[in-house]
Amino acid sequence: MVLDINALVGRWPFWRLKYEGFKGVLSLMDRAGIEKAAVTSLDSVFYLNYQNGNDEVAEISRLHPERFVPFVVVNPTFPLWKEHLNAYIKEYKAAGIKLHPDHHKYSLSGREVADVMKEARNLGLPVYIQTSIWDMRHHPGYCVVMETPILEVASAIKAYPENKIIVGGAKHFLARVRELIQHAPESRNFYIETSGLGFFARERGSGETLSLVNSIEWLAEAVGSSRLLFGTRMPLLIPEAGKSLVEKSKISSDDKERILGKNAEELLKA
Amino acid sequence: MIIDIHVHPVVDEKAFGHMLREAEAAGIDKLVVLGALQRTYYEDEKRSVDDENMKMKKVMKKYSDSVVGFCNVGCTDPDATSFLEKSVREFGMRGLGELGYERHWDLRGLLGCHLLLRKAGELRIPVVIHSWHTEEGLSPHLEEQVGNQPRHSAHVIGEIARRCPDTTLIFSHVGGIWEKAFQAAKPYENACFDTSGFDPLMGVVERAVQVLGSERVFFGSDAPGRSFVAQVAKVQYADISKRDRDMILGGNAMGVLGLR
Repeated sequence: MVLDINALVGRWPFWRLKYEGFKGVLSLMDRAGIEKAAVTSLDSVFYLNYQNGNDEVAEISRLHPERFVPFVVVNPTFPLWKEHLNAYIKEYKAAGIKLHPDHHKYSLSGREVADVMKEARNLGLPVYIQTSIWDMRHHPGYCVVMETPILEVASAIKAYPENKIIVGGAKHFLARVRELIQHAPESRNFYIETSGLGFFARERGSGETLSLVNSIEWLAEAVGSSRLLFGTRMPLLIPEAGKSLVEKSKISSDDKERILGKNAEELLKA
Repeated sequence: MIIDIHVHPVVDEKAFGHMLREAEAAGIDKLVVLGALQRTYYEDEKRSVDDENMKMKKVMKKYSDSVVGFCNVGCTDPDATSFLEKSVREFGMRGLGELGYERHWDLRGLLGCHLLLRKAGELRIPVVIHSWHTEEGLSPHLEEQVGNQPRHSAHVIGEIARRCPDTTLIFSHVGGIWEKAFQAAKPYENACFDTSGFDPLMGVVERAVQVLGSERVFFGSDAPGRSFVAQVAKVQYADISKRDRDMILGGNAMGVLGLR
């Protein structure tokens, strides 16, 4: 089964997306051959009240339980977030928690995140940290949102070894992932979401390319295929782009199967 | 025919072969290999343009079916125009670029390079220009965080195109914030864009076709820093007509490179 760990419903504020909303996402899933998607709402990022997005996710996962796996966005700067979280867990059995520290403006090293991690452990849920939704270089001047520093993510991964943490990003995400691995080489409690990954060039000092490296092949070697989760960020990104990157990588079919869905299934069941 | 208009050179022969195989696996037939970055980029090395041309010529000879070579010159080099002419006439280069990717240099400097750009027009070759425009009003801190590459106001795109009406200018990376870049370029038929070097965002290619027409859009990947399959998907899965898709994927490039 192909399971996308990072699909987005809700409204995108910067341009009209043709496939916006759950109907659009469903049609993209059908087009790209994606059976299931872990989903959150962009409204949880951009609306004043992040719960509006979670309400939408609750509704669509009730309508299409066979296609959508609900994640709940938590904004730990919001009063009563813990009560909100527990209500959503009870109400629609969210399978994971998602954090947007860049937009919601908090540090991963703060007290709030320690509390979120504790709740996640108690509830047995993975925590997805989205360091940035889209490349900062495209952000309009009136709304430039700095991405969460990857070193903060590395520190959080080391500080909360009992938590399962999924990491996703945007601008030059592969470079950030390489830094992450460098700074948390011993940690085994994190997963890397694949949207935004591409190739990188091994270079010598002068900037000349010495070899070309496919990120999926490299990561399967560096951290193991069991820690890679296929994600698309659709309908913001074209889902086939990320799927093709995995499918056309020179890794075993077993590894592809793991990345495209099996790892996520195991993580969410656990 | 799929032609990638934006590929950076790879010096190691084995790595170059690997890149070609990856391109082929993504269904790409031809790669436009851009000239090595300008001499000013390699401040300590001071390699000559002729050396770079010789290297490129070898690559073009070895992979004549799948590689089209571009040259590059230092924008601030007083001999840039004669280097360009020599590169085209003696070494068989079919384009110039990627211009503007020089450290410590503002792309507004291209406004002073009209002689070089007009020479490209005379030689009937296209020019690929690195293009991420900046947003007005950002604090120096944000400027630094948002991008460490040469950036410029969107208006520069239109102004360069206005000054060199006979030269085909291909601004890379859809200009950064594409909505502004497309509007800046819209009045100038010679101002085109490539789709290289950013995440496969939905709707960007469609918007380019809507504002500029497919004749002014070129597929590019920005390999080896980007994946061929993910980059070509931007065009393959865009909601546009087959004709528009064919133009962007290769038809336009065949025209400006004289491959028809």
